[in-house]
Amino acid sequence: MFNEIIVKNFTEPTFASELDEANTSIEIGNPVCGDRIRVQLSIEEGYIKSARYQAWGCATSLATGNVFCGCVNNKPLGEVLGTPTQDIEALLGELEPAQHHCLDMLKAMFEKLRQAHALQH
Amino acid sequence: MSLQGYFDYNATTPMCPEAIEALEGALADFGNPSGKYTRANASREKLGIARQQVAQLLGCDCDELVFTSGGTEANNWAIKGLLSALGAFKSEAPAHMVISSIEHSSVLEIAKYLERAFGIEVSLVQPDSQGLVQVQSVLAALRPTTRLVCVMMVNNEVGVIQPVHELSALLRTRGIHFHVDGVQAVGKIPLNAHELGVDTLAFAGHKFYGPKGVGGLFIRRGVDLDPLLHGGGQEKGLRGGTEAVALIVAMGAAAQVAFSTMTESTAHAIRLNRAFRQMLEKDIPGISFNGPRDLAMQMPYTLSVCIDGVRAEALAAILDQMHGIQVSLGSACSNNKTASLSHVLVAMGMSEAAIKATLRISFGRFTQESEFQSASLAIAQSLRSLQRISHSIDHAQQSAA
Repeated sequence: MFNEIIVKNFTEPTFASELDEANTSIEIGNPVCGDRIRVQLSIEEGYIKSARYQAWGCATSLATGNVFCGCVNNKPLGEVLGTPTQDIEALLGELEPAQHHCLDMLKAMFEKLRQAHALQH
Repeated sequence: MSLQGYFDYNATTPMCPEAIEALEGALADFGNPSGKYTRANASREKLGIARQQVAQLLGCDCDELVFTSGGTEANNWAIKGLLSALGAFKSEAPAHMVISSIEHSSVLEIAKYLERAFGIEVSLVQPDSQGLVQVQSVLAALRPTTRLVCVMMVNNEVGVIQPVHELSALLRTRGIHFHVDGVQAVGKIPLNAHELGVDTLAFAGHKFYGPKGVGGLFIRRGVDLDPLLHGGGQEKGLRGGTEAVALIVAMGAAAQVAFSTMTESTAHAIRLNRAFRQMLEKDIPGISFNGPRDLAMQMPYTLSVCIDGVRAEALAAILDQMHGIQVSLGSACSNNKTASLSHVLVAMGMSEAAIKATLRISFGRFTQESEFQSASLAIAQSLRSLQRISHSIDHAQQSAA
């Protein structure tokens, strides 16, 4: 079963679209289950002006992309990169064991964003 | 409770009004049917009537029928009980059994257990790409030490009707016990245990509008099984434990309804199945149907559909949460690939991408014709929602992942 956070985010994927003005893109996949999430971001002067995503996978993966975008959209990059691990772990709510790979993907997205930022500076 | 949108009748069926009424009517009869005093009479009589009703549905005699807690117990018992009665557990020469690889877990798991615990040799027979277990494949797997063959009557995931009648005749001439898991068939399609020629046949009440927690095993007269549950001599000493009278009575009522409406129900289901296939083909691009091309070999209540490029798990979640439609899946998302894919679809040789794109839609007696059109449109609409989320993700990468 899906918790309320997951249901809300895969039934109302507010951030599901492509972003024409994107200047940063991060993509992660799970080689075992085949889920993929790609996030496009428009980052200017240390500020994430917008974030949008595309995903293919289970419902929890689709929700994960939306949760990530909701967390970083319209926020200072520094604040996003400084998100404590425990706060990231709480973003998806309580997950069943089969859904835990989505939390790994969420953490990987924060890490990829960190790496992308480091490369640019 | 509304049944609108329920398309998972192969998992379980709602109890029919007749079964509910019978259940309620039997709950107050607390007398132990094994009692020798008059207070036991009502329970004993109701149990006898239920036995007649179920025997009628199965096309067998009352003394060939033993009630169990359901299909899992019946499958476990038939396999363990037969091998035990044949002395296979204490024989130095290992006995051999043949089962199809698409059996329910209640058959597959007991086979694994017997292999591990008693050295029973087990051969798995693969189906063909349509899900059909070929007679020749079963015969080719037989050995001089083969004591038992198990093939399900109807597969629960794809709905393929297996060649049980043909197999039973061939196995009978070889003196090999033939056990059939009839859980998905009994009460849904016309069936006669005597005409089928099987030795044992398992069934479950909740698959044909009876209650959960009750089922049974047909045991052809002359077949010896050791009990699975040893106890107080109930069911002619074959199954210890006080009978679940109210559940059995309710299952009997459900069996009576299933038997009396079988011909018209089956014809109606065949018509609905064909109409639904046409709707889906019209509304859903890239849809195909898993299973036999010859629809006479297909359970009319089951459609196993594959929608190219779609992750069925996400589609099922959207159907449930946004449209109130419940279906079943060919795979579940998991970090353990082997565990997450349907063993039936894998055995049929389907690709991982096709299995992940497969939904099982199963309907039943209470499904309204109008629900099919609603379901077809809801699937089409859900696919558009998914397309919005995933249209730019490379399809080749999805398939390769």
